[in-house]
Amino acid sequence: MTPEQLAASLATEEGLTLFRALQSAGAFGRAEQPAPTDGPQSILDWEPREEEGELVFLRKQGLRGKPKRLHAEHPDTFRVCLFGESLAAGFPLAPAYTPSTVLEVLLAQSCGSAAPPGLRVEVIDLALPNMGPSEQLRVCEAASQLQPDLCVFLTGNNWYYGLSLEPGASPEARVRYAQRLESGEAPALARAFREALLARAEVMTRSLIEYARAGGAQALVVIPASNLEWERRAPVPWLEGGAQARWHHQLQRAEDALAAGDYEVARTAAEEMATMDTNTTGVPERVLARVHEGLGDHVAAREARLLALEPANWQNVCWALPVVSPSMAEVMRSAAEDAAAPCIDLAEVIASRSATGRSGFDLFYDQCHLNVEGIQLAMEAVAAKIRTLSSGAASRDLGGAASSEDPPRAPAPRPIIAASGALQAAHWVSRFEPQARPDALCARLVILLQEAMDHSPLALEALRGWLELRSLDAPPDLNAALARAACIPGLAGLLRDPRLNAPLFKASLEALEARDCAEIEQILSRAIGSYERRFHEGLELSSALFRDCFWERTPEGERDSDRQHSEPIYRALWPESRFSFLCSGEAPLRVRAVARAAHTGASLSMKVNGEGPVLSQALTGAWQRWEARLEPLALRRGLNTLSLEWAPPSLPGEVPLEAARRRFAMGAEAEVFPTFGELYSLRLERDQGADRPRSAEDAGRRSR
Amino acid sequence: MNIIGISAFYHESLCCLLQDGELVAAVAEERFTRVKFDRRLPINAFRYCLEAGGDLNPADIDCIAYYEQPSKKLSRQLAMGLDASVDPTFRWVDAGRPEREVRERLGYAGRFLTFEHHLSHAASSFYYSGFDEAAVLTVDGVGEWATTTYGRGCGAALELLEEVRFPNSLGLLYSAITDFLGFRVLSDEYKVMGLAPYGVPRFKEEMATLLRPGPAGQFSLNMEFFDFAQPARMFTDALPALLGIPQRVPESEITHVHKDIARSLQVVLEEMLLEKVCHLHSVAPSRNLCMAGGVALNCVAVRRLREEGPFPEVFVQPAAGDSGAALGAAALAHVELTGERPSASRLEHVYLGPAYGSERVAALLDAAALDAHDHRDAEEALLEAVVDRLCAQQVIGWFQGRMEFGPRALGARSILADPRDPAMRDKLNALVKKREGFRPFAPAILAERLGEHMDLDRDSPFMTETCQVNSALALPAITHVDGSARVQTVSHATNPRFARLIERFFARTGCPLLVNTSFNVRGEPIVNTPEDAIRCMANSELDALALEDFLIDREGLPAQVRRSTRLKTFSEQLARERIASAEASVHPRLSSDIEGWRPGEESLPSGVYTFV
Repeated sequence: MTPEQLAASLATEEGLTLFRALQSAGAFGRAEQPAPTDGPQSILDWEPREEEGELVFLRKQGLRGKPKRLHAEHPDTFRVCLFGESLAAGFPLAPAYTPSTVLEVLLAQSCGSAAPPGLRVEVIDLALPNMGPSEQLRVCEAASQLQPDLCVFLTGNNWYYGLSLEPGASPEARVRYAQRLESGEAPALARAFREALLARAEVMTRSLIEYARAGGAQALVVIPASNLEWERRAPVPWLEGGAQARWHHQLQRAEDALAAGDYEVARTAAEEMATMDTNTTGVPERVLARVHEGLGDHVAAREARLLALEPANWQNVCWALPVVSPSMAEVMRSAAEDAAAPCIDLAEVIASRSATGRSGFDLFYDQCHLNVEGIQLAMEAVAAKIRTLSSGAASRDLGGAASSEDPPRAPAPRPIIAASGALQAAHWVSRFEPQARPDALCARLVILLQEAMDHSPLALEALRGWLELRSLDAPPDLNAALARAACIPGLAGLLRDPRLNAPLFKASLEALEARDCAEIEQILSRAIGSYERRFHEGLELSSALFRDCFWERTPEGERDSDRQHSEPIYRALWPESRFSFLCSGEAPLRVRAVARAAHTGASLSMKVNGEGPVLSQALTGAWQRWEARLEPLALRRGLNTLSLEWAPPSLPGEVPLEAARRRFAMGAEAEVFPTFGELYSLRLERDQGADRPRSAEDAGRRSR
Repeated sequence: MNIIGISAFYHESLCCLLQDGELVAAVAEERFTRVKFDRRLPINAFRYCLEAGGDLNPADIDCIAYYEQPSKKLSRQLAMGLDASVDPTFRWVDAGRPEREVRERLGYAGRFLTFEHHLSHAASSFYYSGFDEAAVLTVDGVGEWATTTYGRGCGAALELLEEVRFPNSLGLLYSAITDFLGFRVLSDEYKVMGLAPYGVPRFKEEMATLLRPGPAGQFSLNMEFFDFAQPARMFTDALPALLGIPQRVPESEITHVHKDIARSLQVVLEEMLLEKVCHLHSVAPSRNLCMAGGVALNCVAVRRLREEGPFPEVFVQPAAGDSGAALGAAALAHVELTGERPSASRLEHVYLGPAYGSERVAALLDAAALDAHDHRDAEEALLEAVVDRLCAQQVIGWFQGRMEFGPRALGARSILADPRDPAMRDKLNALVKKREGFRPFAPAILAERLGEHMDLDRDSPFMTETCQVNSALALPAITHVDGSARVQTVSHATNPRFARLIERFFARTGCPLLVNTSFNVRGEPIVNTPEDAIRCMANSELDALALEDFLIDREGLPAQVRRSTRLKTFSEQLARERIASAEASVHPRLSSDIEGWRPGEESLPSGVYTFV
């Protein structure tokens, strides 16, 4: 066969599918693992140096603050290395306040009476936000050069990296997805993911313990806890027999019933949803939890919320939630026990504090990141556990438990750092969290913002500055307000994000108004003015800048952190799409849209600020233009929301899932979640009556 | 009829719109994403083209034309072998990807046509040349199989008569030596060209060992010295042995030997091209030659072909590299769908990108609290103010009207300076452009004054060739070490404000030229938006910025802008670290559960996509 013939064959679906099958079978070889390098290696941002015959490690300026020097040898120091992801790194309080800094203070305070005089305790921060499991293993292996006495592994939230149906999955992985789809529907993929994640949790826990011991250290496994009050809106994958339309119908029924206090109806609806999606979304479980809470059964509610965590990080279309699921925690606990390694389950530590086992926003900023109180609680438990461990070398024994009369107290952060943490958390939560209930989200954000302002008066300045930076006239990094807003350290990401971020905008206004903040009206007027100016050339509302939910993005966006290479068309993955904008509310506006259906029998209706519909439109599979006039009566001065409601697809899931299976078998990306509708454009313009002809200058001008 | 042309997934991607045969928009994706040489599907450029076409949407497009034939390219990649050590995912064995991405990501359901890579190159030159008939030469690294083609165009007809096939490639030879000299492949070849005049061709004999002439249009590479399958290095150990030095370490000192190798390569390339152009003339006799392909961007070689070759008229497409092949694909689709040639007139200018009006700039300056001189409705004052600063040896950012497409800044997004200043070249290289000191700068000259200062008797609006400087003026900033310059002629017809500026400078100084270099700093694409321009100013030592009708002096740039544009955000840190994390190979302990997992191919080394 000539290369031309082979290429022609591989250009067909059958040919490429066969190739991928052979590739998966190893017919074309495997990538070789890089050979281990000799000599000292860097450990995260610690660079090895030899100084006067001694191995030292120098830290460059990075996320964790000032440069620091470490000697590999540490005869008078009890050295603890703390490993993990963003939770262990102290996001969003880092670098000023982290689990490492807290643990070090606690351990230093609590050296028992038997500890040798002059023994120092140091905790080395080897945690890094966003770290994946492979990197964690490498860091752990390399950390043996620091000769730690103890390795603390506060990790697990990111162990799903590379396993979920995310973009970037290898063709070989996709072939396996295809095989799973062949043997079942979309839930089979979720089950496959869960199996792989549990297997990985076992390997990771065992490996980390082994690496620690190989380096002469003890290992302490700390299983992260999750915020059980966390709400999220996760899409349901294609279901058999068109069940996704019924699923959405039941969800709406449940929400209405919950709002009316009719818990039995809500329970029935949620149970039907759970039967359909078989624990692939966590949505019915959360509804059930709210039912139980409404009925006062907090134990059942907790169980339901734990169950909702199981599918949290497998989806490919939205933010795969970094959490440790209960079944994963069980595997970690069991693996530690098998290896005779001490283990702390933070969920148990937290649950033991109250009769209801509450694990909520009093300890967490978001779904997994601990707030100040959470870090203190967790590290007190870790410090207490460490004190019970023997170092195996009397010269560095911490000396047993501290006396109960003088329990060590975790340090508090400086107020400005606590304020920064709360502000960053508000920003983080508003950007990344699907809005299960917008009002609940807003209330949560207001609490965080109030908390920030309670900690430091500068938070008010920062928040006011953030509002100023919502102007469309200049991107935040060029806006003169940036300098005024950046009065608190750590807010760069918050302040430089150019998106309108309606949830945070609304919450900020509420929080500032509650403080009788002057200048709000002036700031709002300036921001509105910038929008009004843009209405002349047209404002593309479907761009990421104006979407209420950052997570409503398609796979390419997932790996595109700067969002500049975003999707050219907006795909609705939920029956409702929300876009927000500012306006004066004094003049009519015109919405001009280009939309199409992703399935037959689709329709679209549009509401403004929850009222309407101002337009209802049947959609076909071809792009259609339509437009609507927004009367001033429907608009408000300030924040406005345009919501598009798409009819759920009634298509039986078997059809798109079979298409996805074939795509996966070719090693190509595929979608297993329904798309409700697509927008090429949603342009908001000043209504000038009859359409004016576009000038040549307009034609050359880009407004998006 | 609306036809979109796309080039992507290899070099920097580009999208253009041909509307009833007229090119109305063309722009590279990198200008929007700010990722230099961004090769992803040009989705931002696509949206811009549709907007520029008059509020179009995907349903209004009659055809999307893609610049190469994926399955044919795949056959060549397969012939090179399946090497898991290069890319164990074998993602590239997916010839359906371009069409799939175009349809699914751009939401396009209409006709999708693909054309051969070198035919797209040929069309990108011939159909925009204004010639009724011409011989056509395309030369680049490699397309599907072809690396060089000889063709002929007449009216709407265009045919390729002969091709040289991979691995025999002048482009790959040049890239391999670029690699050997410690520069980046597919990016820095022009630096080797700029380095060449500093050397002497004492390695010609060695180069002759690498490149051998063949009959008719053919030539061959001695593959003992090359390895195009490996992304890390394009040559074998035999090459350093032949040249007697090891590969230069990037960013290390450039020695005379490096310069001599560059010169030798350039001379050998020119001689081979001359020989093959003569062959082309014999099989496609004409007065006119159209050129395209990455090698056609070698303006020094183009000059020699024009001076010593058999074709009195030579047209080089301004975006002659792969990105510009999108223009050719669109033209070919037009011919296929209508049977007619697209516009018969020559491409007059390249100002086919986005524009941003003065009102938007005014709002930006106000929000940024930038102290700017407002010259709305007072162009004369603006030009005089710019000339004042140029005469004071200041370096000016010049941002006016629609952005140009192609690799050269041609007076829409340019950095300008006084060419007479002996210190200007070093100042520009060190403080503004932040690039290697040996690289020359190009002049923009009033078309009507060309003959008084340059040894060139025809317009060169796209900077596609060099000529000798024969001015009575001393022009050290734009005169290369060999006395040459890569000139742009500026006319009132195509860029009136830029022409008027040079006119004012001429009136004041007697010098009708300006230094014209691209408005960017090293490692960044040319600026697109006013915001990009201000950031670039903040990150360089530009003295002033003429931003549409406004003039900003450096003192008008608040310190906070200088700081904030340099500040790396936490999210950027996260993104970088996530990428770093993703790029790390899978730990052996995890290989069983995610065997073969690799990150998105955008993060793979470019070489993987270069030669497989």
